[in-house]
Amino acid sequence: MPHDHHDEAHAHALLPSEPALRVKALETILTRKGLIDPAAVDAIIDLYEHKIGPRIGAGLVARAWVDPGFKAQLVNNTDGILSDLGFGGRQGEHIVVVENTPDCHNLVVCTLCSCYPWPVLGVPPAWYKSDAYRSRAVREPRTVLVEFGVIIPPEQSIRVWDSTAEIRYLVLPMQPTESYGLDEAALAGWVHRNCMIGTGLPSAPRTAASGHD
Amino acid sequence: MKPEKPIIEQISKPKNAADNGDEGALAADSAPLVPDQPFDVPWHAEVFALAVHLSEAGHFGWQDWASRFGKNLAAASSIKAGGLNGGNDYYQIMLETLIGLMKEKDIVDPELLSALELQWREAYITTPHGEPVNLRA
Repeated sequence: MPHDHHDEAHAHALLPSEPALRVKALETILTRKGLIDPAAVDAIIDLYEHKIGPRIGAGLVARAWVDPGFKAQLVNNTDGILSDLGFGGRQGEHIVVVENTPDCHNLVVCTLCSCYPWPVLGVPPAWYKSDAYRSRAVREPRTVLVEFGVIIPPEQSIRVWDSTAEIRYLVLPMQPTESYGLDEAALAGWVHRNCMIGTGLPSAPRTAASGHD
Repeated sequence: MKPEKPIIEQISKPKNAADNGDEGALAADSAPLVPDQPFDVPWHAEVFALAVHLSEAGHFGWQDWASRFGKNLAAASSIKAGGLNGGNDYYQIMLETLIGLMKEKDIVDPELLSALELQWREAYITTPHGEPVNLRA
């Protein structure tokens, strides 16, 4: 590969996309007016890119599976326990835990935009924000779940919860019988993001290297 | 806070996945065990963080934000064939919602915004590769 061609192609800094330039322009105005602190904006990005994610929720679920007292608190006093653990909502929202049972499977959606329990799951995946999911999760949840590989038996009802800016839902999945006896840390590996939205069920980690989300 | 009633409760037998018609599979490949990146590109993260930061600084409430953003998403999805995919289109609407709010509050002047976009473009084009890109004073 001719190296000089590479140099020619990148003689100047790579030009960002149109919306990226628009964001820069907006940031410039807001910074000049003293309305934003760029360091605080960077800290928010770092938080959601590196520190907050589904592993927090997975840890809560695993602990609830092994500690009935914690589970009762998580279900009945969610805001209190999350606040105690340092996972309180930034927008003053409430997080509600909905528990799967043999009679009922819970599924979470936001039909308005993409409200989501950020403090325990991080930012939502693209499919959660798509029109297809946001409309079809309400209209045909069983079919949607089949597409996620989740087969809900006919005798198990499905409840669909519509998240809002005020109330975000977290699904507490049922513990798989195959995982009985494992400790909390091992169980957290069985809980991936989709379990806590309702579009997945807990399963054994695939490999030690990949694990779950 | 306890949940209110779920928006729907289905007890009927599951439909066959083949009944989806042309809507296609939603997520055959959309439920990765290993998470996708929180943000696909840096500007997605930047506009998200700006919205969160401005709200937390008191420039708008999050309910107001969600309402406006939801309306804009609905308007955009009604005119986009196949609907929004929740990726780039979602963040573009987030950006325009934020700019719209800032315009309403007389914080952002549209002409200045456009001028700064051009200045940033010029800065990238005229900055040698590898050097930090800054607006000219």
